[in-house]
Amino acid sequence: MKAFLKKLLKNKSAVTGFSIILLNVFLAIFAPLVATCQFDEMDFMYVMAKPGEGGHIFGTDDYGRDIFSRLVYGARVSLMVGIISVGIGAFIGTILGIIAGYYEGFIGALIMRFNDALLSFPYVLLAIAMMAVLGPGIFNAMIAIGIVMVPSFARVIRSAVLNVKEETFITAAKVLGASDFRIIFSHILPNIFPSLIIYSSLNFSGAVISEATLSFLGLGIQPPTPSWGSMLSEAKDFLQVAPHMAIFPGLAILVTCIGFNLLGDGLRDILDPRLRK
Amino acid sequence: MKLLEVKNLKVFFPIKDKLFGKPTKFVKAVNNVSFEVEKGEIFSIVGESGSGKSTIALALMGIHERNGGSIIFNGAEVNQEDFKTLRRKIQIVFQDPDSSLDPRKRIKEIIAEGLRVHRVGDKAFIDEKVRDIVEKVGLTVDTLRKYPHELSGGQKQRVGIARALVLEPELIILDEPTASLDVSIQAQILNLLVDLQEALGLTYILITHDLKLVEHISDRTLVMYLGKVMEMGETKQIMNKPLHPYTKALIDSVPVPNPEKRNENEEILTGEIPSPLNPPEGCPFKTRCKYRMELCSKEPKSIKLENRVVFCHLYESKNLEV
Ligand SMILES: Nc1ncnc2c1ncn2[C@@H]1O[C@H](COP(=O)(O)OP(=O)(O)OP(=O)(O)O)[C@@H](O)[C@H]1O
Ligand SMILES: [Mg+2]
Repeated sequence: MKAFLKKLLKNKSAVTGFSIILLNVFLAIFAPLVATCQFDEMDFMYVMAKPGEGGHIFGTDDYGRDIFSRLVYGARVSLMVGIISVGIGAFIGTILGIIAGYYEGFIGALIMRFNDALLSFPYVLLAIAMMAVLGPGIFNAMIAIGIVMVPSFARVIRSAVLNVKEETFITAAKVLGASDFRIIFSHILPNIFPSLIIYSSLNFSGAVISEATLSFLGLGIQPPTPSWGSMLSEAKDFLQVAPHMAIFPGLAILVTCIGFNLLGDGLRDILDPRLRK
Repeated sequence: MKLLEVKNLKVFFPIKDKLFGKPTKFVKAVNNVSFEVEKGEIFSIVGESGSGKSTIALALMGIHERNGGSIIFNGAEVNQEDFKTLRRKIQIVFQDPDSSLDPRKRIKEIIAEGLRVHRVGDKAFIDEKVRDIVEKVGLTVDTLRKYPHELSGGQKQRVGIARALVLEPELIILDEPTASLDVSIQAQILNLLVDLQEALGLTYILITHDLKLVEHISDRTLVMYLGKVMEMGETKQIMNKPLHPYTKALIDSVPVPNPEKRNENEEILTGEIPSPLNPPEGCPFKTRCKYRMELCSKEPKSIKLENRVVFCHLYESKNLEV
């Protein structure tokens, strides 16, 4: 563990990514201390104020609410949605992908047919259908978004498993008498880990955006509680008059995604013995 | 004493129909192969690429399912549930050390895996055993901390040998153990293998297409073509006087330092190997054989002749000398 942290600290992209995410987590936890206003506090003197006007560093939205403060509070929802729904998608998708890849026969074919069927639906439509079953609410939204991600995770993991499975070291493990359980956990999982990490970090932005869509439809977070995605979708009607309403939540999503991608990249390199010095 | 007997081994790979997933055709990778391996000998299996050599090895370990035939090890018939124990007594050294070692494991874990799988001994025992083996294969103890990518090809192959040895198997299958190594390293690895055989009383099955190597170290040889046995017997006899036209062609095709010195009556292999999906009826070699006759469309019988087994119609009446 100590050795791992040491390596983490030596890897530039991991450190940068980690710092960005840590900052986000910090903002989310200490939102009441960091924010200059309440997230639902309306300043009627400054509606759609430009950044800097009236002490609002990122300006205000169409209700005169401080964008900086809403972003800080929004980090709570968005980070949680990103992490939890990607976690659900990655976890179930990895299990299914490994089963489908390792046991190619009937079960594998069944999983993949089901997968393909799900993948042929638009992402958001599927999430909405899920929400219709689960009922509205932010936690249900996370579950729905996570489950909707499962098929694409399963597909990526399956193809990674198929590649690793062809390697002679898997045959060598079988020749030694290793059980399927051992082969999967000790050989396949560590070797598909890079694909899993990269694909998870790529999916973070998708999750944040999906949450925005669900919130926009009234199925996710309920106003006035902010999330980055809902702020972005509210802003789209005012792009001409108040572009800053979209720019700042967009930047927040972008920077956080970059953070996750950098951390993902860094982790992949740290975990690969071939790249160690 | 017979260590291993293989009788009428068959391994067929189904070729799946994409639409319905039902096998419509089979690649008969190993088709009715029988042989015996004596304790302490080096038994070679030779043949061109795709003749089914590696498939035999994996079928012996129960990794490819048998479509027929029996395996008798140390006098006892091996059934599906016996493979767990057989996977201690037989081990394989693979051709390509790059892909046969898990890139994410340290050498120590790679060598120790067999002991862990079979729950042999505690941690201290495993440590001790691994150190012992790593020195036996000519590596230093500090190699144990390294990852495969930090080693040279020859070192990696030594790790592959150590991994096979750690379970103290009675039989080791060497599947092209030197084919992917530099020529200068090949000799070192071969010497190591021969030394280990003597020191530990091992039995080897050597799979290769290198006839020079076969002639150099093996006691008996099985010549295969498209999943079938062509000829089997003492290596010396086969090399000096091959009976089967395929064996003769194979031997004559070995590159010689001075090609002009080749004999008039040498037969170099020409033509393509037929597709294993559609092998010729009867003798599989008939499409490339210059002694081809009408009879060859029939399955040749096993003929015992001059202390060996040959599958060729030429010898059925024994009146034709090649
Ligand atoms: N898992 C498999 N599925 C389908 N076909 C296979 C499989 N493994 C081998 N084959 C086929 O079986 C035949 C024999 O293959 P095998 O690997 O045993 O040949 P080989 O003699 O070891 O060749 P090489 O010298 O190239 O290693 C080939 O036609 C090959 O394509
Ligand atoms: Mg082979």
